[in-house]
Amino acid sequence: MARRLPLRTRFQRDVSELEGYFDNFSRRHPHLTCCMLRYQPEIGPGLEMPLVRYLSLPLVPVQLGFDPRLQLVHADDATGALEAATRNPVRGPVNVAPSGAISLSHILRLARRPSVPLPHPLFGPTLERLGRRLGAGPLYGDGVRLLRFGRGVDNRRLETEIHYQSRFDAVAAVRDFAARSMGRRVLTSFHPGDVLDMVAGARR
Amino acid sequence: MSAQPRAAEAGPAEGADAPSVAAIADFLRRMRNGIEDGLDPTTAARRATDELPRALRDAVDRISRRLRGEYHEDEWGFDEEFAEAVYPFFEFLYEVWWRVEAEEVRNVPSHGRALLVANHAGALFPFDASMILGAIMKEHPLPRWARFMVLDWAFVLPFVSVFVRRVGGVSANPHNAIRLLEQDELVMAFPEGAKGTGKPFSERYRLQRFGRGGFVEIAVRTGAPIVPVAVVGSEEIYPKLGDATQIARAIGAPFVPITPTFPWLGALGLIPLPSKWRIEFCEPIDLSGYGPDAVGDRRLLFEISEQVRETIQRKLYENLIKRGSAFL
Repeated sequence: MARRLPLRTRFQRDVSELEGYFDNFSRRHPHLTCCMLRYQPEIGPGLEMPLVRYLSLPLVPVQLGFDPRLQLVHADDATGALEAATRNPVRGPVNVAPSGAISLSHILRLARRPSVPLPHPLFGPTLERLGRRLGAGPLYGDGVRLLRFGRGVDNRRLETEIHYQSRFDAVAAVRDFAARSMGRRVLTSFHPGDVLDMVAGARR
Repeated sequence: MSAQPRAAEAGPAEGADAPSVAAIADFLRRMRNGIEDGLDPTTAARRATDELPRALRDAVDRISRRLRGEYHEDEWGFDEEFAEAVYPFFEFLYEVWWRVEAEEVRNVPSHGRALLVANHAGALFPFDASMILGAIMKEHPLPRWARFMVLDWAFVLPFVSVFVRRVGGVSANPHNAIRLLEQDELVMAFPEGAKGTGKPFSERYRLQRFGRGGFVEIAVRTGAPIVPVAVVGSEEIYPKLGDATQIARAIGAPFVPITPTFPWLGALGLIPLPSKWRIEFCEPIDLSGYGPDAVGDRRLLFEISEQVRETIQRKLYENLIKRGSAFL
């Protein structure tokens, strides 16, 4: 399907150039099977990735009025998909993403991280400054845009052509991440959900 | 003397709210007693809840579940709980504000895929999708949520983007529409797009060009029936008198309308005028007979597109006459 939106950022132009090289190369060498895996951001407790570090911040800044829809690939599925693709290569690009999608607010609730909404022009600079102090580092290229608009991709090729069934869907990947990552928390014991639970007398 | 009947009228409405208010007061009193007896706040709170009425406990439980993230969103970001929570507001618009009359809702299939195609209007905020949705939810014997195609630009706006997505809006492009239909969803499309919402008030109810008939191609490819929908009343909610082209270009909007109230009254100008609405669902057009080869037949696609367009235009005129005065 043809591109509908203009490429705006450096990162988008770079990626599109890469895909252009890939296209040309695979067209000129039809005897080679060229398979391109397009990964959605990966998530896992031990990973040194800007987005994982962002989600591990004790207080997570978010962009006021935006709630991106994300698909985060569980680390096991990321390697699993790569392995499946080497065993069962297909031609052309394949999106590596879990089924379903999850919004950032939902992620933060599952991971029990308090969030701070900031007006979106302030988000990037704040994250950079906060990141340097707390060890999260600035987000790569288009991370800030990703955390404003989100992204959902079609992962049917991964399932039907490479025959890789993801072990974790979008929600399960985040649940697993939340359960296994300790991270730093400023308000360890407090969560509004707990207080309401107590009020409702619900026991989990 | 004159104050008495009014008090009697207000009685039942207050009565409905009174139990929960009393229950909260009761809860706070019991909690204070508990703390005075030397209990720590959490134990006191837990004891005080034991006597709360069931409905209130359920409500609290629901909110706490929400805050813990125990809810479901589908891959498009549609959140049924959220949609149900905001539904009463749209119900108010539907019943009281616009007094919508819906006809032939049974033409919407109660299960399986279908593409609803409607005229598009309402310069500042096109409410037509929400009212069609309301008509299906309220009047259809088997109500179901429909997804609607939304101009990309809406997803750039803070708050609007989140809201639209959670109630079932999907960025308008053929890929998304095909995938939704393959998932057997009910999909609403507005082929006029921004040309329909951005037309001046003097051209109301005159259908604009239906794109390049892409919606027919989508329907043929997925074998979904097309249900034309004519919406009358949406044109009067924000009468567009002018266009602030410069501002629109600066913020990247398709157009910035000037209405009698917007932007002169600021946020108040966003309140839509209470016009009277009629929504008619026409006979579904079954395209499953054409088969996949028809996708390449531009001429056929264009003919079907024109047929849908003419149906909607005819129904618009019919319903304009049936409606009579626009506001009363």
